[in-house]
Amino acid sequence: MGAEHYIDTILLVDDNETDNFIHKRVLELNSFAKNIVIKNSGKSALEFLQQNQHYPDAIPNVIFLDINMPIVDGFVFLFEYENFPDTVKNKTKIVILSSSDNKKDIDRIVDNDYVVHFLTKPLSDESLAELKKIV
Amino acid sequence: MTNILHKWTQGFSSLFASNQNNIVFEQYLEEASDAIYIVDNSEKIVFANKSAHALLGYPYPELNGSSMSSIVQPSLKGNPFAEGLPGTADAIFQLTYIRKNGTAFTGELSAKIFSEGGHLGIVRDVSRAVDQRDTLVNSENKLRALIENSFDIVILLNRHFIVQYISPSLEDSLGYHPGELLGKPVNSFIEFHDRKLIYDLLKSSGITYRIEDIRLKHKDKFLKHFEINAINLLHQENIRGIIVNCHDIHDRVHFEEQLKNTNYELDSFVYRVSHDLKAPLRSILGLLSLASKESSVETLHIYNEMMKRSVEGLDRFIHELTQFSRNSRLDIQVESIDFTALVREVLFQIQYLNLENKIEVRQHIIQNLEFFSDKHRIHTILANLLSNAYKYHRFENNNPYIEIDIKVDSSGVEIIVLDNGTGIDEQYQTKVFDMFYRASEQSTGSGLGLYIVKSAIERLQGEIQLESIIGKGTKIKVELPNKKKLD
Repeated sequence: MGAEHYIDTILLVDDNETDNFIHKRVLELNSFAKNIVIKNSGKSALEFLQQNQHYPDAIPNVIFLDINMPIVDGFVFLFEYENFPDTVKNKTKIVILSSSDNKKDIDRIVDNDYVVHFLTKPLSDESLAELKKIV
Repeated sequence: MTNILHKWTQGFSSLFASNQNNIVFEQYLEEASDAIYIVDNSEKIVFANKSAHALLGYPYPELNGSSMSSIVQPSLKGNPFAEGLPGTADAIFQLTYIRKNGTAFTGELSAKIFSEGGHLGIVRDVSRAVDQRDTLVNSENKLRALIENSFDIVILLNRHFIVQYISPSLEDSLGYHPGELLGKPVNSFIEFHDRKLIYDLLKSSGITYRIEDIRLKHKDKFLKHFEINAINLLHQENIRGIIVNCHDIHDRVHFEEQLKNTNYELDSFVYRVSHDLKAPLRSILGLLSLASKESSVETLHIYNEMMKRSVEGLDRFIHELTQFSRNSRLDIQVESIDFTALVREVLFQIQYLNLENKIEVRQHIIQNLEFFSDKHRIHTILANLLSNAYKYHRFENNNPYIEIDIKVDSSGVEIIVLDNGTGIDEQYQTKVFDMFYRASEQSTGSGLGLYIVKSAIERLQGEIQLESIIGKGTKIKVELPNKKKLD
């Protein structure tokens, strides 16, 4: 593998399999992350962080978080995320990746301290380039 | 005449000390501007002066010698002549006098009662004063009736905000008897936080104020909304208080809240629908843009499959939306329903969910009676319940099955859909019928299915019950009435 990756690990949290597939592929084509971890529910993503909170290497640098998911949606995820130790929160930056462009959603979620950016689906080369300026 | 008068005036020993005085007195009586008469102990008018004749409309001296009863309405209540004048005490009465022409007026009689019986009377026409008083009493009664029959609560407070009067509508509105609150501080039935509101208002705008929504405590502890207007009449002579009018706006507030909720629901509905319509389109857009960078036929084939799935998802969602609006908009179309045929139709339509026939479907349909209802809606109900039963199945260590039990009897139909699938977590069981609620991490649907089921059942005046144990399975029982009476 010759390409330099921009970050080590990214965690994709989305209940839509197709979207996870697309995001993974776009990230690969842009050599954005060395490791791409996919979780298809908010709950399994929280479990993943829980299990790895004491392994700094496994903690993702970036989380792509969908808003509309059953049971543990983006908002619930962020609420629970608050309880993770600083070792997790200091390393991880959360980016919302949603098909919603509803202003209420954006305002509500951007207010959250851990959310650094808001991207609208589908993920594209352009939006990744934009993201690189922030993370 | 003078003799008669003379004879009678002899009775006033105290008044008339000498004969001289007597004559002066007679003249005075005759010419006095007040109407004066003298009645003997047989109720006969022995003297009536010019003014008395004028007052009663008789030509002078026609009254002399006539009976007292001809000028006084005898039967009227409060007429002392009906029972004879009381004792010998001098007194003032109000009597109804009759003029010669038959008309009546209220006269005030100052009577000097003679010890031998009979009296000397001075009469004044007080009709106007009485009329005025009657008007006052009437308007007071009217006002009182208005206040006491008003649906609003009217309260009179003194300067210390103590209840001096409270209208009876209190009982209907807040459950207290007016007597319970008299003498109590008005604060005793104002919601605690709203007292602060009043306190602030008193400080800023004084005692005359208006509050559009304040909560008062009902005797049974719950709160009711009121609009209140307070007027400071502490400096008004005849009131010296604060008048507070409390208008019950509880129903209005309730409807406003309902409207707000409906608006909120509509808002979130539009939001969710636009999101769910957009999501598959965005996926397709992402796939298209990826496809333009790929050259491998296999990869493109995968993309095609994914795009197809997105389109199918969108198609399903639009179908659900149609069901949703159909249910809320369309009238109920009653027709005869053959449940065996209907179940076959539904299972055929959703067979794509059980392509490999891994799930066993058991049917027990007992229908010996004709059943009438809305076929479209029952189709929707069955399709949603059965596709849920298909979708949420457990294949590990399990022989997945679905049981469909349908029983038609004279009271209606009972439909049971039972499965041994994933079940629904107890904490989500009350929410699964909510609009857009998805109770499963595996859900790929819109969260509309069971909401549509519930609404359709409500439209058909039926009932739905859910029993579920997580990891074991789910049983849903639907009861629907027959829409045509069977004889």
